[in-house]
Amino acid sequence: MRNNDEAKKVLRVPLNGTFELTARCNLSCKMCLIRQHNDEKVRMRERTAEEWIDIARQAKEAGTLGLLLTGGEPLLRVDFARIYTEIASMGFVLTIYTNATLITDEILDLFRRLPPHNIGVTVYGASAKSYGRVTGSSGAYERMLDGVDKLRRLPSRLSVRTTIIEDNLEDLDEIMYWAISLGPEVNFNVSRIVTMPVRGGIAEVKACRLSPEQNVDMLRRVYQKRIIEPLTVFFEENPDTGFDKSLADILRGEVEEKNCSQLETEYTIYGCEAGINSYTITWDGKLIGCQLLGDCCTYPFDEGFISAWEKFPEQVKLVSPPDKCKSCSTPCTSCYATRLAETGQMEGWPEYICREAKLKERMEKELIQELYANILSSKASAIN
Amino acid sequence: MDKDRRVKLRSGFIQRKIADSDIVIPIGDNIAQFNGLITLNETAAFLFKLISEGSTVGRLIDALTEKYEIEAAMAGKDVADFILQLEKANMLITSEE
Repeated sequence: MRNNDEAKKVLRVPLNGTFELTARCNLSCKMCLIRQHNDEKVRMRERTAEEWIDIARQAKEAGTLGLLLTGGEPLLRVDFARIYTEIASMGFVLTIYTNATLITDEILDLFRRLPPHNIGVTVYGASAKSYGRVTGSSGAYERMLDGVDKLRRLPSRLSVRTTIIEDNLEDLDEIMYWAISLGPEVNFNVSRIVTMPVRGGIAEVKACRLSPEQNVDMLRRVYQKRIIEPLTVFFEENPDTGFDKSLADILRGEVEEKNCSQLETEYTIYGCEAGINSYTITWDGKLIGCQLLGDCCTYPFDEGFISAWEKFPEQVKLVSPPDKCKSCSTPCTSCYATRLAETGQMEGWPEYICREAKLKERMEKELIQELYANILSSKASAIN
Repeated sequence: MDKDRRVKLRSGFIQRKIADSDIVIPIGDNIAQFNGLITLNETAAFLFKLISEGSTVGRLIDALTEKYEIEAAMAGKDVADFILQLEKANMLITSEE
């Protein structure tokens, strides 16, 4: 039988890490959760290339397998190539998040020599005009298109995601068509919901994010395009096909949202993998549970990665979910991190998230009924 | 299989032990062929480490025989099977010693 120390090691392995190399960005997106000012004062507080390389070696030794390099915009760092060359040779399953507007020939050569396993590109519109509204840089649109074209030539798995706010809502269909045109090997996602900035992020999210009603309408359009329409066509072409999975499950996709009061608590800290199998190291050198969680931290660059990882759970002071959530069964995106982002407190009731979740639940029921009606209609046509 | 045959791994495959699992992570050009993880059982992990350092078929058979106290014929079959799998996956540089 394992003693307690051994059991702790088995239960907590820092498998997935996020290195937030910078909180600066060359774009100024209105809905960014993380972005700080792109100035010398912020840059001076970032950790050096040597520090990131050293902490990566320590994280590898501690068992980190999946590593995400993100920001801000990580390619904005002048020493990105140095950090990347070292870290990409260490043996992580490596992912880069970028806005793809800084893919120079030098960066492309670097990625050709050492391709990341995964590249996630964030896209903010389908025209220079929309990019100007969302990011403050209309020229970024052409640079993004050029960057994505270059990144597609790499053997890396490419995924494209977009975040929809009032300023690019009208582009949603065009963004989806463009993403689909990249081919089935390119994964495409729309951010589920926009939460408020965290850890001192300076963006004015509240002024630009969709209302709960708009967000659910936006999701309805995405679900219709990506789930209902293909399924309807499939059942039209295969009217004898039965279902072995409920339509509700199909609609929710593989990552099903749960109600926050029903989250598993055994072997977790925050009800998820944060602090148990995953962590983030922030641009200014703190180890936290995830990028949204700034409630507590340890200091890996000062005390070493393993010590910071082991001490982390002692720093966490959890509180009960809000009373309103305890009697609710609606699946939602509320968790300790989003409650902290929305209300400033982990026990706060996130009104925006709650209202959106209730509307989404109703919308999903309607879509399921619509799909059933389409399928029955297909079957009836086939019989006639 | 020729026991003097030298067996060497192509560069860009990093063997790691993660939470009691032996895995190989392809990096560099190799991710064009394998973009994911290769998991190894205990015997494969033992052989993979020796091959990554450079070895011969004969030395691999001897090492396996000694570590697991099995007959040379069985070890020979295991080594041949493993080398075949690595060859099929284009993971080896092979030459006569």
